[in-house]
Amino acid sequence: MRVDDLIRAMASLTGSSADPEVLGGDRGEVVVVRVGDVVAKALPADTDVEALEQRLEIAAAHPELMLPPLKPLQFVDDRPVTLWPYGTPVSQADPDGAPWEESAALLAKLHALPVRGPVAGTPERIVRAIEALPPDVPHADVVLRAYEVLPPLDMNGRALIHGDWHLGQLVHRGAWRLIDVDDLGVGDPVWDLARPAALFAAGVLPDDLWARFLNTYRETGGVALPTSEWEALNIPAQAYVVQMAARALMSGLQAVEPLVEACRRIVATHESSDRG
Amino acid sequence: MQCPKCHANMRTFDRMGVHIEQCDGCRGVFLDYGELESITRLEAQMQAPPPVAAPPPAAYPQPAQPAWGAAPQQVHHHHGGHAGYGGGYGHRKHRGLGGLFFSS
Repeated sequence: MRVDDLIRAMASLTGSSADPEVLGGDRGEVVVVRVGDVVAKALPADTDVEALEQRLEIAAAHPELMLPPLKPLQFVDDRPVTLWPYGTPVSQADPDGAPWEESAALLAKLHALPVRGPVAGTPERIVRAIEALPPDVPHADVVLRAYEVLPPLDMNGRALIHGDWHLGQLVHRGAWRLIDVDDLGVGDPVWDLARPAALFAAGVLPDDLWARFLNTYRETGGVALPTSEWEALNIPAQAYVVQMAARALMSGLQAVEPLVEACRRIVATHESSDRG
Repeated sequence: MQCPKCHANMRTFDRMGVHIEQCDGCRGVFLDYGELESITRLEAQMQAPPPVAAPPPAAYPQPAQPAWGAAPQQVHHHHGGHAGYGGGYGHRKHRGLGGLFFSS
């Protein structure tokens, strides 16, 4: 099916007659379309449909945390399509004004919910992204070396987690709510904090923004972190540094040096501890 | 006594228990052993306690970096008015990478 036909079919599922607008840039197999006040998301044909339906049920059961789906899972040919109310995304122009506290509170409350659902998509999705990096891209050697020195990533679940949290996973519709349930499930809650932790450790996320996020998470009773947060965050944050570096190299992102430099420091840390 | 520098006459003053010899000619001051320490002590007593530094606007302490983390971020106030990193955003050195906050 051509993408134009897919978009038209998705638009008709929304019941709105407004012109469809494709949201986001190149997302590979995923297509997101806004039609009036409704957003439709088409997922790859090989998506685990049973797991996705469980994820939609969890979101529907917790509208205080997550944007609830408008309808049960739909299909266009063999592609699953989820339908959502439109919400205003976080402005990328002003990271200082972003809802860091609200995000942290939503995640802390999510992590406190009864543990149910499919296995979370992380850290599996991190590993996939790193392994997709072609080794002949400039700086790929450093990034892949950092991946090699990482210990195996912990797959043990102990809470309900979002699985792919960043500021793009939040919209405002009356209040801030989490969106994108595609990786929602049972996992280690530290993964939901590890991406901002990685950006902080790479010197990209300013320390005051990290402090706002980290401290609100703790104040809301978040279960992911011991008193000394890096005891839990250390390896997951390193994994996210490597993943973001790999993604940045593949997408040709400018100013990738802070991530590559952080990969260098990760290699140095593990090599010195191996010797010692 | 006579001034060791210009040899004019020196006069003794007694200020708050400290003996000070001052030269009538060059106005130089001669201190006996221990008198400098006495003056320093007195000065410390007389000075009001320094004002307590105002707490920073952020209520949270500086978060810790891991062993492999980036060097602590520096805020260069003396660069505040300059172009480029000006406007108090000296520590936001990687603003171009803000997109990373928003993507998978």
